[in-house]
Amino acid sequence: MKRKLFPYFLVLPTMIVIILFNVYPILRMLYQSFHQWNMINDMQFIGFDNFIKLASDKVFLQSLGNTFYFVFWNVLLCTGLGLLLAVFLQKNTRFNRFLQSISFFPYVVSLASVSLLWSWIMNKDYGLLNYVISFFGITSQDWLGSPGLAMNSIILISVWKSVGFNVLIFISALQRIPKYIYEAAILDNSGSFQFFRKITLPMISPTLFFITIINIINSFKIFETVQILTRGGPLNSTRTIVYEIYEEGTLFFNVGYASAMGVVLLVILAILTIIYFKTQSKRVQYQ
Amino acid sequence: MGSIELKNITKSYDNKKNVIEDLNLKIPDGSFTVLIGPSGCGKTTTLRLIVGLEEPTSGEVYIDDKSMEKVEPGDRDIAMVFQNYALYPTMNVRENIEFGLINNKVKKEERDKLVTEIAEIVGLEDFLQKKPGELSGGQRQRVALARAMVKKPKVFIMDEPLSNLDAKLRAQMRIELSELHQKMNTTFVYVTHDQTEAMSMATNIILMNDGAIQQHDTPEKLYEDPANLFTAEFIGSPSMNTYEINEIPDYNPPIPEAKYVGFRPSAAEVILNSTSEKMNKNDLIIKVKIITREYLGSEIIYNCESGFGKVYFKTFQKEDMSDENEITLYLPEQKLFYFDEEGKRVHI
Amino acid sequence: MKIVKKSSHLILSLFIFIVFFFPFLWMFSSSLKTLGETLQFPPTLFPEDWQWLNYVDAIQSMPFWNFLTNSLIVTLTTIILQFITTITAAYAFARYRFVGEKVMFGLVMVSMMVPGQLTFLTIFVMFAEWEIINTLPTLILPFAISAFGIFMLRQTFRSIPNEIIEAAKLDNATEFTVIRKVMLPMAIPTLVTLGLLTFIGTWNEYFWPLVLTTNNDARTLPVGIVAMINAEDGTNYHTMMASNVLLVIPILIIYLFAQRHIIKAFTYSGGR
Repeated sequence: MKRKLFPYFLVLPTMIVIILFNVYPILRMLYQSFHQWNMINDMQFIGFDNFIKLASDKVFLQSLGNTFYFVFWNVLLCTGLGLLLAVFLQKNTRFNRFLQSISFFPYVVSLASVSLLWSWIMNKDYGLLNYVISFFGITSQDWLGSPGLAMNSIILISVWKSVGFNVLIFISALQRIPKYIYEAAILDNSGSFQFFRKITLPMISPTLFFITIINIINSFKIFETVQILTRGGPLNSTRTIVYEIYEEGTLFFNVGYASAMGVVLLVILAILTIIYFKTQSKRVQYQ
Repeated sequence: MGSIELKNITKSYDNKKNVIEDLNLKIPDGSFTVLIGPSGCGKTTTLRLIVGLEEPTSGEVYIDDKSMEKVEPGDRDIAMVFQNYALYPTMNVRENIEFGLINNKVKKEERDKLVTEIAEIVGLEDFLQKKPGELSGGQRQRVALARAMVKKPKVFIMDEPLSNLDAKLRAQMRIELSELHQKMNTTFVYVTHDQTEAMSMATNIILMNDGAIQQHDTPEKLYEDPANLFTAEFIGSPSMNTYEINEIPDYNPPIPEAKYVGFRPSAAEVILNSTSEKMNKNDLIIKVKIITREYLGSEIIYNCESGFGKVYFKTFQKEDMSDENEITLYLPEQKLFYFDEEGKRVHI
Repeated sequence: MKIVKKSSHLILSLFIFIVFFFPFLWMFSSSLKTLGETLQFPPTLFPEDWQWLNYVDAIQSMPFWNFLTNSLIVTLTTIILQFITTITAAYAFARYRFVGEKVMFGLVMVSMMVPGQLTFLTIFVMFAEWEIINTLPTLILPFAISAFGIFMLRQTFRSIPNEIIEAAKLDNATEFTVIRKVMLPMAIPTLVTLGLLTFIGTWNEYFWPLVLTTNNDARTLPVGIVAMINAEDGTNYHTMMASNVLLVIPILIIYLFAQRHIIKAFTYSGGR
C-alpha cells in the first residue's frame, strides 16, 4: 500500500503548484470575466457585458490591432532574418561559431536591459542611431516618440533581441542535414540557390514551421519593451493586449474587465497551442 | 552451497499466455549450467525468476533449499552479468566494482583488498580509475565480471554475456570463463542462444523451447543421445538431417512407432561406386545430388538434394565431389535416430 | 570571383558583429562618460575621462544591495525548488505506472503552455487576498516547478537502461541509493541544462516582479533598476547605462564560461 502511494507523493508538490498557479487562475479568470469587480466592492455577475463592451472598446481594439501588427512583422523578420543568417553561418567553423554566439548574446540578456540600452541608442537628441543614419543622409527621427514610428522601433528592438535564437535553432537543423546530400548535390552540379530551394528548405521545413509557431506564441506576449520604452504611447500606438490587461487590472483595478481581455488572449494562445501540439505529435511519428 | 530448484513455476505477463508453464528444474551446486534455446523460449525469463527480477505467477524458487519468495534480489547471494554489461556509466571501474560492497556495508580496508584481488584476476589493475565509456568491449566485459565476482556469490548468473564481443574475443572469453568456474567452484547459470558456448563450457545444459524444458543433460548426452526431435535438430551444426520415414523410398522402419528418422551430417559415409549392398537391413542408403560445397578448411560441408528433402553431410575428404552427378550416402543402423509421432525418441 | 566572394563574406560578418555587439560596447562606453559627454552630438566613441564613479553613483541612487539580495534569493531558491520538484516528479513519471498518471502528465504539458501573462492578474488577486504582496515567495512559488524540466528529465530517466537499475538492485541498493548514486549522476547534463535555463530566465525576469510588486521591498534587480530610472525621469543616461552594465555582467560572465552549454540548452529547449 505504501508503495502504491509513493508516486503520488512524488508528484504532489508539482501538482499543487500547477493547480494553484495554472489551473485555478485560468478558471478564476474565466469566472471573473463574467463579473464586474474592482477588488473593493462585491463581485457582481453581469453575464457577457464585459465582452460586449470589449467589442466596441476602441482602445482595446487598437491594442489588438497593434499586437497583430507586431506579431506579423516580428515573426516574419525573426524567422526570415534568422534563416538567412543561419544559412550564412551554417558551416561549423570557429569563426562562424563566434559570430553565432555574438548574435545569440542579446537573447540571454534581460529584456529590461535591452530596453534601457535601446532607449539610449534611440534617444531623439543624442542617440547613436540618429548619428549612424546621418551618414546615409537621413534626418534625425524620434524613434520612440512619434506615433508612426514607435511600434516599428519596438519591432526592431524585438527582432534584434530574438533573431539569435532563431539562428541557433536553424543552424542546428541545417547541421542535422546529412553531409552526403550536399556531396551528392555537388556531383549533380546544382546551383546554390536551387540547392537551397529544392533540398535545404524542404528538409528544414518542420523546424521552420515550429519556430514560426513558437515565435507567434511568444510575440503575443509582447509587454516589457512597451512598458519600459513607450508605456503604450504615443497616442496608444504601441499599446498591446498584455499591456492593456496590465493597466486595466493592476493600475485601474478593473479586474473583471481585464479578465475578459485575458480570455481573449487565452483563446488566441489556446488555438496556437493546439496547432503546436497537433503538429508536434505528427512530427514525433515521422521520426 | 548454491543449488537452485524451481518448483511448478508458471509465469505470465498481464494475464496473457503463459511464457513458462509448470516448470520444474534442479541446478546442482557447483555446476556450470547453460540455459539454451531459440529466442522467446523463456530462458531469460527463467533466469530472471531465479535472480528475483521477476516474480513467478505461481510456484516457488529455492536456493539451497530455502524458499526465495520473500527474499529481495539483493539478498539472494546471487551476482549477475548482464548482456549489455549494465555498468554504471558515471562511476569509474573501481566504484563500479565496489558499489555492491558499499551497499552491503563492507569495511573500507576489506573493500580495497577485495577490489585489488579481483582486479588482478580479471586483469583490470591499470584501469581502475577509468570510466566504462573509455574502455573497450572486452574490458567492459571484465568489469562486469569483476563486479559480479567481488561479492563472492553462491550463484553466478550470466545473461548472454559474450554476445556483444567479436568472434575472436568470444572464443578467448569462453576459455577464461571455464577456468574461472573451476577456480571459483561456485554454481554458474548461463543463458545463451549460441550452442558453441553451451557445448564448450557447460557441465549441464538445459534446452528449452516454448517455455518448457526439452532436455536437461550433459553436453555429451545432449549430442549423442537426444531425447526428442527438437533437441536432435537444435544441437549440432549443421543440424541433424531428419525425414519422415514413409517419404523415404525403399525403407522400412525397424520399429512400428518410429515416424521420423535422422542422422548427423558427420555420420554419412560417401560411397562412390553406387552398387553397394546393405550390410544390415536397417541401414539407410540414399542417393543425392550435390548443390553446393562449403570449404571450411579442416572439413567440407556438402548441401545436397535428395528426392525427399535436403541433405547436409560433412566430410574430411578433400577431393572435390561437386562434379559427380549423383553420389550415394551410407548410414549404418547405429548412426540413425528414430522418433515417434510426438517427436519423442524411440530406441530399437 | 573568389576574392569578391570572400570579401563580401567578410563584410557581412563584420556587419553581424557590429550590429549585435556594438550596442553592448556602446552601453559600456556610455556608462563611463560624464553627463555632459553623453549629451554631445555627434557622440564620442570612447569616454574622454573614464568615470568609474558613475557605478558608485548608480549603486547609491537606489537600494541596489536590497535588489541584488532579492535577485539572488529568488533565483537560487527557484533553482533549488525546481530541482527538488522536477527530480521527484520526473522520477515518478518515468519509472512508475499509476492511476491518473496520464492526466497528471497532461497537466504538466499544458502548464508549459500557460504563460504568466495570462495568470498574473488572478494570481495577484489571490496573493493580495493572502496578504503576501511585496514578499519574495510571490516571486518564487509560482515558479517552483518547471514543466519543461520535468519533460526533459523524464526523457533522461527513461533513457537509462533498465538493466543498470536491475544491476543496482542486485548490488543491494535501496531505491533511494539507486536515485542518488546511479540515476542522478546520469542526469547531471540535463540538470545543468535546466539550471542554466532557470538561472538566466529568473535572473532576467522583468514581467513577473513588475506586476506582482507595488513597492521596492521584494523587487529584483531588473524591475528595481527600471523603476528607479523611471522615478528620476530617465535623463541620466550615464548612470542608467552603469546600472545596466551591472545587470548584464552576471549573465555575461556565465555566458563566457558556459557558452557551449547555454547554446546547447537553448537549442534543446526550442528544438524539441
